[in-house]
Amino acid sequence: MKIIVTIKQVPNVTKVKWDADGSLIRAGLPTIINPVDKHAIEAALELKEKHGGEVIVISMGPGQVESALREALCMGADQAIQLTDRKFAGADTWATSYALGCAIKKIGDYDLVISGVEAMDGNTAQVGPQMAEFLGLPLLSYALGIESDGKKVQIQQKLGDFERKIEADFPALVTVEKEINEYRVTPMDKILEAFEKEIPVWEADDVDAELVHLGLKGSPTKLRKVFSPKIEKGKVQMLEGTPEEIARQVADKLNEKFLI
Amino acid sequence: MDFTLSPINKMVIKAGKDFCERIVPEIDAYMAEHGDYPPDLLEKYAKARMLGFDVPKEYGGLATTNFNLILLIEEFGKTGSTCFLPLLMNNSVAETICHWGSEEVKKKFVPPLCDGSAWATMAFTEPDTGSDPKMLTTTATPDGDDFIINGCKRFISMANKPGYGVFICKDLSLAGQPHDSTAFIIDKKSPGISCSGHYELTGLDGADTCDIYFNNVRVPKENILGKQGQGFNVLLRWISGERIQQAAGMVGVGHQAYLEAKKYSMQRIVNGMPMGYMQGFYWMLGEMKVKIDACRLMVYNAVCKQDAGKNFDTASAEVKVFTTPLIQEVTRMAVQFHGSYGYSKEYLVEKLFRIAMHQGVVASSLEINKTIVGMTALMSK
Amino acid sequence: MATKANIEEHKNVWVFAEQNNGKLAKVSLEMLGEGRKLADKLGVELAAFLIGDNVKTSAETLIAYGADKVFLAEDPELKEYRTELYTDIICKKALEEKPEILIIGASAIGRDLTPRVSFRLNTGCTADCTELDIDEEKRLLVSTRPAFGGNVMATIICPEHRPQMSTVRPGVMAVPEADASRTGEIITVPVEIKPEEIKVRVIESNEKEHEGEKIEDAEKVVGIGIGASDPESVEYVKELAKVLGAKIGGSRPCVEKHIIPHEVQVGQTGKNIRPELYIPCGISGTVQHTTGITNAKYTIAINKDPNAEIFKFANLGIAGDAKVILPAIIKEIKKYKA
Repeated sequence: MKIIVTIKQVPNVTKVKWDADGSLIRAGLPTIINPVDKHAIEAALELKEKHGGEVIVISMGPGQVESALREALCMGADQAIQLTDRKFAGADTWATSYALGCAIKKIGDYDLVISGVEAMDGNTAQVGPQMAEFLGLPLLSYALGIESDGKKVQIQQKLGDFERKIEADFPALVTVEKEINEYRVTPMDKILEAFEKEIPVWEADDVDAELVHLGLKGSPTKLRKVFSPKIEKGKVQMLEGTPEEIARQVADKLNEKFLI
Repeated sequence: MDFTLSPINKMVIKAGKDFCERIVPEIDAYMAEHGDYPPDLLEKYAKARMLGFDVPKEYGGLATTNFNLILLIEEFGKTGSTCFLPLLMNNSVAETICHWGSEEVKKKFVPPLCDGSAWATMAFTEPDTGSDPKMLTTTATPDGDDFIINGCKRFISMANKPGYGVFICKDLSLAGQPHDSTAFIIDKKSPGISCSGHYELTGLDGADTCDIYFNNVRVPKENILGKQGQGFNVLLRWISGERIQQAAGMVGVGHQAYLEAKKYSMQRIVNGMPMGYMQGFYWMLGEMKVKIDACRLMVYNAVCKQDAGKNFDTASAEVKVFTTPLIQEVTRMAVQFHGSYGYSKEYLVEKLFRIAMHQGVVASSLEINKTIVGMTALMSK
Repeated sequence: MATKANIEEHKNVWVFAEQNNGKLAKVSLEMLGEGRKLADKLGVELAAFLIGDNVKTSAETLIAYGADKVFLAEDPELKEYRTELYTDIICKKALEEKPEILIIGASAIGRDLTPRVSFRLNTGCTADCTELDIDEEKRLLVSTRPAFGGNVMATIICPEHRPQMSTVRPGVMAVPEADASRTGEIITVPVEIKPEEIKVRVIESNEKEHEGEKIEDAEKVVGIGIGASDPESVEYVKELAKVLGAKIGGSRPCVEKHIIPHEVQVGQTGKNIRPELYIPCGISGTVQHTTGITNAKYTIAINKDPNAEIFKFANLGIAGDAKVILPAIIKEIKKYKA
């Protein structure tokens, strides 16, 4: 079973900064593997442990994305491929899905593509379904469980208020929820092995991607502006007194507002 | 010496932190409830491949440095949990067997310690032994191809768990000779072995320390570790490594105590300001930080000697002498920082304070290490 | 993006009308309300796209809620939602009809379907918007969405591709008033599904058990935060919710501590609520939480810290311990009800 896992490196901070063009300033921010993507790696490793095969992890991003891929190798992935090219920069989900899709085509001959449902920075949940469209793969999203017999894949799907069991033949694309598993603690032996491995860097030309579809230029959506959320704050009336006095005021107010 | 951490070192720390955040809390909760280690504890360590750092791969080890091991241990120390003692024991005993053991002994006893199917133990202490091998009363009497063991060992960790222990005994076949102690590898579930209940300790919450009794326990000759008469050497070499690992854990304890104090000093408002801004407190914080940093450097220095294959007995004793009082002082300061809260179980610092106290008396006392360091200084040219 | 759209050819606003087992999703009605506003600003028609099996009665409802037209695609194979089949039908019709805007509720189905449709139509999609508007000068859809867990808001446009697509978070827009006298056109979309086109097989589908209404639809919500997460306070919160007939929601740390399920987490990574009454207990009021409560009509906050951020979002504030204040309030409310 050949499984490709797409992961994203995201900044691990709550306060982010943007430059004048509205692009995220990434320099100097601590980064992590997008948390749900770790569950995607784990799902792939568990399938591999059951059925044999290999797990290849790919990620697109600036040079520092290497550390996320290195960590994926430490978890036990067999191989990692880094997509780094200035031409990829500024991509929206469409252009990102295209570039990742080209790399997946280049790897070729795969049975499954697995990714996390969404990234914690963008929260769009679009790249998985869009890669599926580009690659012409059936999409099995929101997986809470995953099983395979080596020919097809079946997932437990959390579809809003419904839980479904759905399946598709290989090759297919699965996006996973964090409830799907507990990902492993990076095992020490894999850490020692991971730093022996080469991580090839692929550029746009290496994956036969067409320039016009890439990066900021290839992105149909444009960021117009970024701002801090302004939340309307009412003038609060603080209640004073003993708990009983306060409670009486609350009850009076609720009564006045027809809330009890 | 350059102690810049390599990417591998950093990843070891990261994995350790992850284990401590996600898995240690459930282990610690079990230990608090049952006063013992969870039965599947070693399985958890084995799954994360944390057993057998300085053990060749052919015996199931990782063939990596003790430096990586102590980085991991420091992370465990920060949790205040006792759960890393078995992790240390399996690592250090597996390494010890690899150093002294014959090929057969290594093949038989090391892999189960690395895959977590056996709990390791190291036992020298007896009710009245102290650190003097001449005082040993647990005897090994030759009988054909076997030895018969009789006696008692005190304060023994994991003595009641299935697996193998290295037990240092008075070898009666060497009676009258200057070095008459021999190390035996003994299956702790052998007929004739029994254990007391757990000791109630000041710190090390949930540890399973107890006495172990030998009543005509038969051990084959092949289970002798090293040569007959080398028992005390086996112990001394083991304990040199153990002291460093213990100190690494306590550096974690001290570091966390410092962090807890720092956090509290920013939360607690005195006269409209976080109390950390008062000179008395930030001087204390500064002192705590410097002490921990210095202790860490001592530990790094000693473990690098160990990894380089140099004699590190004195360096290891120096670690104990230097770090024990400093870390105990740092954890005491952290309690003090918290005022009355520091003396309550609501806050982590009291647990850190209690666990720090063990370093002075467990795995050789502070005083015997002063003796080692002092005598070495006196005798050196 | 290779092919830029010929923008002038594109006209009208579409809304995808989601149904489950024949029941229209509330978020789709919210979309009709919002779509109506957008269409009126642009001076164009509003169409709803309804897919399913035997769902024609819902088409009338969509008209009552503001649709001028309903595209109706029916087939037994469409009873269960499947990404590829739905994508095929919508894209085929969109290529013929050329809508300029397509908005979809950001439900599980919406978030699954929309990206695939947008990729096939060579257009962009802005996910999980909380605000939609029209730049009338440039005739552009302007979509605003939170990013980085709500720490920033981003305004996004799609200038050169059509349709302009956005998904909108459930609970953000109001459901419009239904008007049964409205009339509209129902257009049947021919459906032909070949067996080989069915790539995903649905083995089983079960509706999850729900305890009554969802938190985002609740009229009253009592919120629980880490400051009221001790067992005693939790019991009082439950009792208060009972006497008020309120749902219990809460902040993310309480979900992580398994005090409340994820379904009732309020805030950026949870649900947006719009209750008449909201009583956050022991919730400090980080931006992650408060972005989910801005539509609450009347808020009474209880927190030990008199300077807690949550009070800036409250009408009434009580600086005190929930486990002391709540029993008194419960007692008073019971008196009123008696």
